[in-house]
Amino acid sequence: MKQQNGIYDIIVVGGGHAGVEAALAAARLGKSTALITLSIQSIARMSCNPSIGGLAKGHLVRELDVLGGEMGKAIDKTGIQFKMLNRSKGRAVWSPRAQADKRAYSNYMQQIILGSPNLDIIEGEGFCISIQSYRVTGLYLKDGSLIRGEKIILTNGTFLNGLIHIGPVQIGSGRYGELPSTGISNSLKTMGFCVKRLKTGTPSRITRRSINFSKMTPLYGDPEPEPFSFSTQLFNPKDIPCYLTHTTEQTHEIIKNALHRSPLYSGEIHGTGPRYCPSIEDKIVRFSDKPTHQIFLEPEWEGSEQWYINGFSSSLPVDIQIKALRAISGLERAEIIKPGYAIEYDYFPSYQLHHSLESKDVSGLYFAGQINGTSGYEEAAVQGFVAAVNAVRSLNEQEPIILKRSHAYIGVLIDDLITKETDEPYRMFTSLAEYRLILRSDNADHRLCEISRQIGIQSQEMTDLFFRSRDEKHDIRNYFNNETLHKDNALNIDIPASQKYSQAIKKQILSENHMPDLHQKIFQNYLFHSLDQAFIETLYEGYIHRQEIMINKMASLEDQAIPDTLNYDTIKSLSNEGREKLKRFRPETLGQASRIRGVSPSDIQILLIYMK
Amino acid sequence: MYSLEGTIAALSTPEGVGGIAVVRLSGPESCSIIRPCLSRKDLEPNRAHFMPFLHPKSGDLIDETVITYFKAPHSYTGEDLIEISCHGGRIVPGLILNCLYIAGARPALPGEFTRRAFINGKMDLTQAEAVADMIHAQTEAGLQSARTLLRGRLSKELMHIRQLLTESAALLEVGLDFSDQDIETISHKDVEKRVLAGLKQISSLISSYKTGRILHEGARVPIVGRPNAGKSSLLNAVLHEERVITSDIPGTTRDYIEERINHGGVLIRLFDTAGLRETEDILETAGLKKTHELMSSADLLLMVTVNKEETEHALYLLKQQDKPSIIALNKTDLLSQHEIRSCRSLSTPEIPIIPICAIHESNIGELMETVLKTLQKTYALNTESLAISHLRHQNHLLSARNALLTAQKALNNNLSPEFIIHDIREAISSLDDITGKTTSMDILNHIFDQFCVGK
Ligand SMILES: Nc1nc2c(ncn2[C@@H]2O[C@H](COP(=O)(O)OP(=O)(O)OP(=O)(O)O)[C@@H](O)[C@H]2O)c(=O)[nH]1
Ligand SMILES: [Mg+2]
Repeated sequence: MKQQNGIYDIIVVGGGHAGVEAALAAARLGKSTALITLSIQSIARMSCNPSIGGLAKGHLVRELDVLGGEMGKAIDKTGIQFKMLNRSKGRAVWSPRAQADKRAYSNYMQQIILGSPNLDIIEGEGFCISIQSYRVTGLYLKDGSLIRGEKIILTNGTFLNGLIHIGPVQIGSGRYGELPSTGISNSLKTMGFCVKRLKTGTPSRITRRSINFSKMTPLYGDPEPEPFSFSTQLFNPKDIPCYLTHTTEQTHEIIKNALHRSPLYSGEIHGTGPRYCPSIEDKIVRFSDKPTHQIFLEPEWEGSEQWYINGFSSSLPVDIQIKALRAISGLERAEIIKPGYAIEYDYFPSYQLHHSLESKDVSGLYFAGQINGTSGYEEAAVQGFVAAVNAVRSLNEQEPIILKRSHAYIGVLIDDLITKETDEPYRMFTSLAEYRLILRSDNADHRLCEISRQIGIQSQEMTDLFFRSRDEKHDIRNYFNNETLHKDNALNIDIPASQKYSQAIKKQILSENHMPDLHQKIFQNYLFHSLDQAFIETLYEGYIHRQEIMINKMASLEDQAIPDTLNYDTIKSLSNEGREKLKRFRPETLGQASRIRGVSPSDIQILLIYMK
Repeated sequence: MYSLEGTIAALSTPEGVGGIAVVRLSGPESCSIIRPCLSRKDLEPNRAHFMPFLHPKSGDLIDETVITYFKAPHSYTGEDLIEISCHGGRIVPGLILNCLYIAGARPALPGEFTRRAFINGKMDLTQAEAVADMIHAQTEAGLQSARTLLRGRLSKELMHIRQLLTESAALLEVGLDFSDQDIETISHKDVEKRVLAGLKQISSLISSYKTGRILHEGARVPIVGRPNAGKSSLLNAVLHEERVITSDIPGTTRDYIEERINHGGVLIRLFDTAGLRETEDILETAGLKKTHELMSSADLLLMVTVNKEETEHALYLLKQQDKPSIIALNKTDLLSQHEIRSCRSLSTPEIPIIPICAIHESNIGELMETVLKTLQKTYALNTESLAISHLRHQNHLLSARNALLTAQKALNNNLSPEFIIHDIREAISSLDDITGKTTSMDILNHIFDQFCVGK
């Protein structure tokens, strides 16, 4: 360890998905790094659903992979079922998803962490942040010891000050079966950080032997699965099925009659829950005309005895959960290992952060993951990565890396966190990305190769590959635009008249199905990926172009920096609400200011005029 | 560059005319600036105070005035605003302004009061534009239409369309972002219904542009016909004066001449043009080219004929145009009653034929009445309905419509929702451009440049 006079360059608090990516990125950039975790075994634990990726989240994983993160490689190595979601829709919203083997996944990550140079793992619990004149100097552990460091990245957000609800029972807790971590939360509160509460839920787990699979539909992955990581080759993953079943009217009866015993409805829970991942009692109340809901049964790891019931998150008392479950076809004899529960926890609204994820008030202190109010492993991982990269760049006296909304879903995610107030856990959606048609999961390499090179974690080999493919795509697009597909063509395609390749593609005469043939006959020296990208960009050229126009339209606002010294109190004509929000959020550009709710168009015009 | 700092003052009534002038003072310092000019120390908001206006240094009496104080934010500008009504003419208002400058106000820039009102959220961009329209209004109808805009009717309508579009996009998003859950997916029908409704409203706004333009800029009515038909004589007859030269030499009028009359509250812009014929004369050819340009930009064609044969030819020509047109059968003093009657019998509701005699100014009233009625009917000028009048609005509405037409096509072709959503979002962004939600500085400057000082 090249740690100097006992001072780490970077201390990462928490070994979850944000912490893992943060620690690896910092160490890989050559900084002496300490990872503080309760135990080595808890590193990269998947505390909730046994899957990685999915709608919009798959985009995040691909982007992280290009930038040099580990998540994509880890799931490619350990996943047990791979599927491209939204395949019936356009390419922009295709998202890779994998069923994970929880054990194999965290084992893989633990091995990577343990084998990483520059990285120390310290078992313990962060308790209090040591600061001197608004700059971090280290971290006190619960046992009283001080770990000194230049930068601290807080990723210990799994259920800070957690309060579990199962029916009328309340338990102070971290993740199920773990102690709640209150220390850091209190330490931040005393430092003056604003803290708020959120709510989420998790479904019950049941034993495998109690499931009657013959009454359910098995669901397999894609016959030709696609990996997450651009570096994964010869991909031949397992394909272990999940099972689909449905709730019955009887299930709904049981739950309706017990609603008064749910803390959600008796008013016990104050945190706001996510609308998009509703508990089963929520679904039954809100979609009351639906006689049945889908329930997915997923193994937690290959051959596991413990099965996850996706779609059945609940905070009802255990006896009701069992009764309701057993009214589901195939679960008549279900035995619960862990009941579902709702949990309330602390988070620190991210308007207190810069886009680099560094605190606006305490220099050297970074926040990433659930502590910022996000849900999901993928959302956490990308934040951990970005925070670490920027902490390192700050040590090197380099400008932070800030991904724009037009660059990446990661950029959308961080910008949303900082400029929008959430009252439910933030989850990535494709609808949040206004430039969705450009931010595809299949072109993450072409979009982000420049930034990836600037960051400097990705291997030379992969970086070269990204650039090569991007250049090839340009060549092929030129070919499409200039060369003619003749009536008697080598592809044996029946066309009404000779025309440019680009025209034939836009008219969908030349379709995706012809690409393998085209690759063999004309572009055999190019990567297939390059051809595929050239094809998509040609096909959607019109839409892509229009989206680029929208980006440019916004660019004047996006690029207009607001000086940090601007005193909003001196600008008399701002609306009261606008002024209050601007003072609180302290946006860095006019574009960010325009996305803050409560800042009106005329407030923006005033700033425009004022800053001239 | 523009600054919102300071307290501004300007004369807000026309300079030099009228018995009473109003000087406006607006800004955070209004009260303290006016204090040394008044004998009374504090002003009650929203009340007219009759009091002498004094020189702030010498205390000399300048004028007996009425002072009204509007306290922020309940004023036109949203700031502390004081109106000083004083005696008109050139001298007194100038003296009062000078006193205010001495006391610390600065001269207002053109449009600065309205700009402050816009900035302070008292009005949106379409309302600010309406203020400019009212300043420039030339007729009662134009003023009325600007008032409709000023009340925020357009913004309200746009908000409604925006709401429809946002809903459609949201419906489509569910199918993308929740496709892994069994939440009810929405049929394209629900989306299409909303898109179509939005499209309909946008289209009707677009077609109101002609109405709005006519109300604000006047209706373009070229007088056309063969040389010597009496076009110039007709113009003179309408104006009751010898405005343009007439003669019995065909081709007297070479270049066109425009005259504006306010008829029945509508501004009518009459153009006397070069007669229509084949010619070798270069000057006349140029004149003819202009005549054709005028005809194609016309809101109504007024064609002058002198006999049955010409009238029949005129009918033939006019039927090929899709513009409202009227035939003035001139020189009826030279025609037999029989010929006049047989010409009149060719008259249709689409193309009325009005017999006149230009040199005796006879039946000109009926002709102009018919012109007015036709304009009002064709362009719905009488209604109080909302009409857009700015090319800027028209252009944004056209791009919104284009985007929605693409969306509709995409819906029909069953394109993946993200494309349709992009179309819809683009349309929304165009609508936001109209109300100023996303307006850039240049556009703002352009709009406020149309104002004069004091507004
Ligand atoms: N008798 C009679 N003569 C008329 C009448 N109107 C116009 N004229 C005469 O017709 C001649 C041509 O009139 P203009 O008004 O100059 O005709 P114009 O259509 O403007 O002709 P150009 O400018 O040459 O195209 C003049 O001598 C007028 O006095 C009318 O109602 N009755
Ligand atoms: Mg003439």
